[in-house]
Amino acid sequence: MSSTAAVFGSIRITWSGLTVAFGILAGVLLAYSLYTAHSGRGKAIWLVLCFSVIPSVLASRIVYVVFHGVEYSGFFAGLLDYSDGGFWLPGAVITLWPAALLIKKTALPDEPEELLDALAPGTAFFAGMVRLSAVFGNTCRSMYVVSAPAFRHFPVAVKMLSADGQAVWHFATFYVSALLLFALMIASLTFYILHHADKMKKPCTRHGNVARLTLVLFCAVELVLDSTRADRTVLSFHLLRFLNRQMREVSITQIFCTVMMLLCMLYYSKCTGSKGKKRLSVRWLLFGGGFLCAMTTEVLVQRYTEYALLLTLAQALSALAMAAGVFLGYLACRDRENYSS
Amino acid sequence: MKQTKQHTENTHFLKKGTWTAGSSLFALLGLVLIFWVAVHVHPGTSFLAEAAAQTGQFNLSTEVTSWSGSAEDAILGRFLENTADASSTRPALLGASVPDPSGYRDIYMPADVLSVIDKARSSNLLGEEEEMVFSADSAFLSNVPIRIYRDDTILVICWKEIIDGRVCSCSEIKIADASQMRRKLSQDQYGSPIKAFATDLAAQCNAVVAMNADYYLPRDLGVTVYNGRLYRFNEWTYTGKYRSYNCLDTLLINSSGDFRFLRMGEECSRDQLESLLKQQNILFSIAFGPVLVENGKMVSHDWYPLGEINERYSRAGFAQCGPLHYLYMTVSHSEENTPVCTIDEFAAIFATKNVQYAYAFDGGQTGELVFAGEAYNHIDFGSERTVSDILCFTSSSAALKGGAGK
Repeated sequence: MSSTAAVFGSIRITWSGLTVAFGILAGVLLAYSLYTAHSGRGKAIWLVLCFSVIPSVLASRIVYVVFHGVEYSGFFAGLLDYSDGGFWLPGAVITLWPAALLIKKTALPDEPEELLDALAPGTAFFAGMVRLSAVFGNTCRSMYVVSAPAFRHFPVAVKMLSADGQAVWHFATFYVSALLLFALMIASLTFYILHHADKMKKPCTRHGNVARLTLVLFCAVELVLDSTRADRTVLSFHLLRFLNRQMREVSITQIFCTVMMLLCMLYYSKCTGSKGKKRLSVRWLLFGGGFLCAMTTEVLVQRYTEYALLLTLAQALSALAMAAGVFLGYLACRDRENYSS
Repeated sequence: MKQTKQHTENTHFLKKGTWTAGSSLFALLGLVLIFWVAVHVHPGTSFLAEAAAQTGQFNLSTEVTSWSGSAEDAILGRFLENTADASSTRPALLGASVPDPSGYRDIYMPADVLSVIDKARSSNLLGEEEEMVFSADSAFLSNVPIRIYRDDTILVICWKEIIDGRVCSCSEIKIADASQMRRKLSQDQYGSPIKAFATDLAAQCNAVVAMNADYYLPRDLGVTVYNGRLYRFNEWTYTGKYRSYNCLDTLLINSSGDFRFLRMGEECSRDQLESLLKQQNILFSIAFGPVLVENGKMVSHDWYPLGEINERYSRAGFAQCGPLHYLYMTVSHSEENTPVCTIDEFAAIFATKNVQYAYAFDGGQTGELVFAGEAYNHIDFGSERTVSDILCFTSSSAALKGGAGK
């Protein structure tokens, strides 16, 4: 299938571009519906769209160009020439936050957290569509080959032909990611409908929890699936040859995801009441244990690839434990005495 | 509460009365931005889509309808396996002999290299009249050994010399048979997203000496031929009169190990090129460039799409001196931070080596000469970077002993 959907003179529109655009449009309309259905101003959503599209593209591109610089003739060439190359998805997701802040500072008094809550399910959908857009390019992006015949099928694996004509089935990282992100969209939407305005203990606010928990789950998904990618964005210890060999690959995405999850964890730590403190050790144990386990499995999976399945599953459980730690933090912050909003 | 909210809203510069127009305007602007995204943002499509098209990797309807299979297979079989090293067992690479450890030597006296060359002549690897690029009179970098590998099928001499204040790492290679020159892509698969260190790729194919090539993966320019098959040939307009396939000089190497260039701006159709590949038995191509030396004469350039040719960077290039006789050279920083060069300066250095044809490979941190499993030249930033491909030379002494050699 051709990657080109249409050509208008010098403008080439690709199927993947259309998929991404559809993801944005659908995500925005979903956010618009949610926000206006809960007495929000729809115009604020349009403003977020205007304020975030260009910064999202630039932010996701900057990180990609900085860490894949050799693929471009120069920093600005990489930044402005979109004929080829990739984008760092978390960069696109995270720019919604400054966009929402900007709206409060310059245009409307809408609470950024309220806006971000409405945007969260749509953003998960958009991220899933970005991953799905890979159907028009290289779909696997994975370093692993699927050897079990039962799993040699869409959406778990995609077929590639080796130079000697042999069919090789690669794990389809992006399809699996897309499916998980669509599931995340449904979870986020359900959570928004049921709990987006639950009262919280001070100083936590009642808004922003949908966005935070969606971000945490997004990070959990990326943390694990990024480990299976062959083309991930990694730190390179140019000046430290020893570290370059010893550390192998340190993924920017995994660092970002861990930091975001930690920030959410710290946020909920500040507003846990006396009941919450009793659970402090449990949720921090979950989070800390999950973090250590995720790090260990990442180090091991780069060295003992024959155990990739086992280690990836362990990493998934670790990421879930981290997410569960944050969720317990959220539960501890809920104001149960004034539970109903 | 409502009054406070209303008051706050009125204090903002976008007053309520302006919002109907403003809202529509921003909605319209948002849609324009989404259209802009549709046109410009297509993550990883262009170069990888061509790989997908070539390998026929995906058909959604087929994939969905063919979903079948038992869960027992999954339980009994391993689900995932890493393929980074799997290529080392591929049949195509088994023909390369493991180099004989006794064939390696480190020599500090340049004159001693001449005796090794004489032995190569006496074993008929080198012709009696065949001239070597290596000269014992060169300005060698002090305290750096000249590294040699020799058996009946391959002679490799690696040395570092100073030319115009620049440190040039050279490797002169003479092989007995063209099949000893190999293009190694990661996973032996065009379009594979896996990248590896050049030393690891070299080890996978038992290379005596290897070098980075064009790092083809992230680009979609030029022509890519691999194992005789045309993989990359895009006809979209690159800029001005150039199209994607002819905006670069492409190096084509045939089954006899001889160079042929597809020069920048040279026009042909896909069918014409495919028939040329067949006629001339082209095995593989390298798409970086530009051409540095052609028919023994230096070629200078004002403009070229890759490699920032007019800036001073670490450079890597590959030359043919004669039949089955090659020279690989890098000009890179050294521990003393010696200067690097522009493409024309690099071409001028190659021209002094009396080579027939020379072609620039990807330079910068990618430029790497691997000998005996380790980097021989100084690599930018002091460490290897992962690449998608190398060009390497192997011994075939085992095959020769088995009667399959030259």
